[in-house]
Amino acid sequence: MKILVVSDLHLDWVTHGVPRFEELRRALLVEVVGKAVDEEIDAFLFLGDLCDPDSGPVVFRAMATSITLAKKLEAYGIEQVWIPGNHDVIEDGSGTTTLTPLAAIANDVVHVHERPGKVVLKESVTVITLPFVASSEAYDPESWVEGAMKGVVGPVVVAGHMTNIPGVTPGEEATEMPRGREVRFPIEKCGRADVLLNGHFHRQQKTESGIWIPGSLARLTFGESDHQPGFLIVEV
Amino acid sequence: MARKPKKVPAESTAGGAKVSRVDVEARRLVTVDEAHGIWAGKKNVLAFGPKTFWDGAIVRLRPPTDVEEGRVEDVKKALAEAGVVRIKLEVRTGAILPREAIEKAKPARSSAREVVLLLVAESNSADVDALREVVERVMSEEGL
Repeated sequence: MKILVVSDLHLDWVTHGVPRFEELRRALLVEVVGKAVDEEIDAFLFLGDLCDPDSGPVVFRAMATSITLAKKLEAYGIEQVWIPGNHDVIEDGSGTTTLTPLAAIANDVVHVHERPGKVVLKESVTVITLPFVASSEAYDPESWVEGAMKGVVGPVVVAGHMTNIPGVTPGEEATEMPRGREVRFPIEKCGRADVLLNGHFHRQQKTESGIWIPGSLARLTFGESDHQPGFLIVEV
Repeated sequence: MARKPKKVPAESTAGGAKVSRVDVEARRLVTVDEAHGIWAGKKNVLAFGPKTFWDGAIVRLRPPTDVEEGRVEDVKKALAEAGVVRIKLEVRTGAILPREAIEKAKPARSSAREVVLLLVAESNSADVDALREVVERVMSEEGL
């Protein structure tokens, strides 16, 4: 199974007065979808940070973009799992996120995990998700993964938006763009997994502990000038 | 900006899966600092990167203290012609600002009384004068 993995869109971001929405929207709807079709991708994972909920009218355009992308991928039969990041959560006690409108159209092909979840894609690969959640919905990633691994048959992917990963090269997500709290990736409980994936960090990288990070689709701040933006394709 | 996702060779994970990175061509964020060759002589900016390098870029400009304003303006104009969408001119390191500019940059300070009366004037009250009267009385009692 081929899985395309995208993260940290930050569709609301403005760099020195230049709104980044249009170029990011184009990257998603043209390049990512184009690559998904060319590579005959089976599944799509979004690892969080669509946009901040308090960024004004662009939030609606960002949410509309997520729905448009989900519908396009669905039309090609590409199953999807979307999880929120620390920038997506709304800290008003409701537990909602900027992915909540997308969750309203979720079905057997489009899965939106605003809470930790588990789904079997195409009846073969199990994806265990570790979304970043609001303080009111906090959970223990270690015990969740430990429990979710029990009884799993076949390949396993653990996909999260954890903000603390030992050995990662941090960047502007921790300095110019901080939001939320520290939540540690439960690496010790993931021994059974075939692939470990995590969003949050904008520099594309693989950590020493074996966690793959797709990074952002754009250089958002001057601290990211030397980044090579992109995404990942995983074959499980 | 022409974008063509470029797939680089796959790497294997400990679990036996294969992971490929796919690069996308993205807008550049360029810092032209004091040490940049662009400030020396009168070379065209295209000598420091092809048009595709500058096209769509956001540039942070940090001229050396001793470069004349005319040269800074020439570089800004050339960058704009090369397709740069935003140029942020930063204050030169060690620059001496005129006293007038420093004074002008200081935020205006208002007294608590002035702030309260401003808020009263901008309120949606049906009778602003009556509201002002009440507020004046309270402020007098509080010694403002």
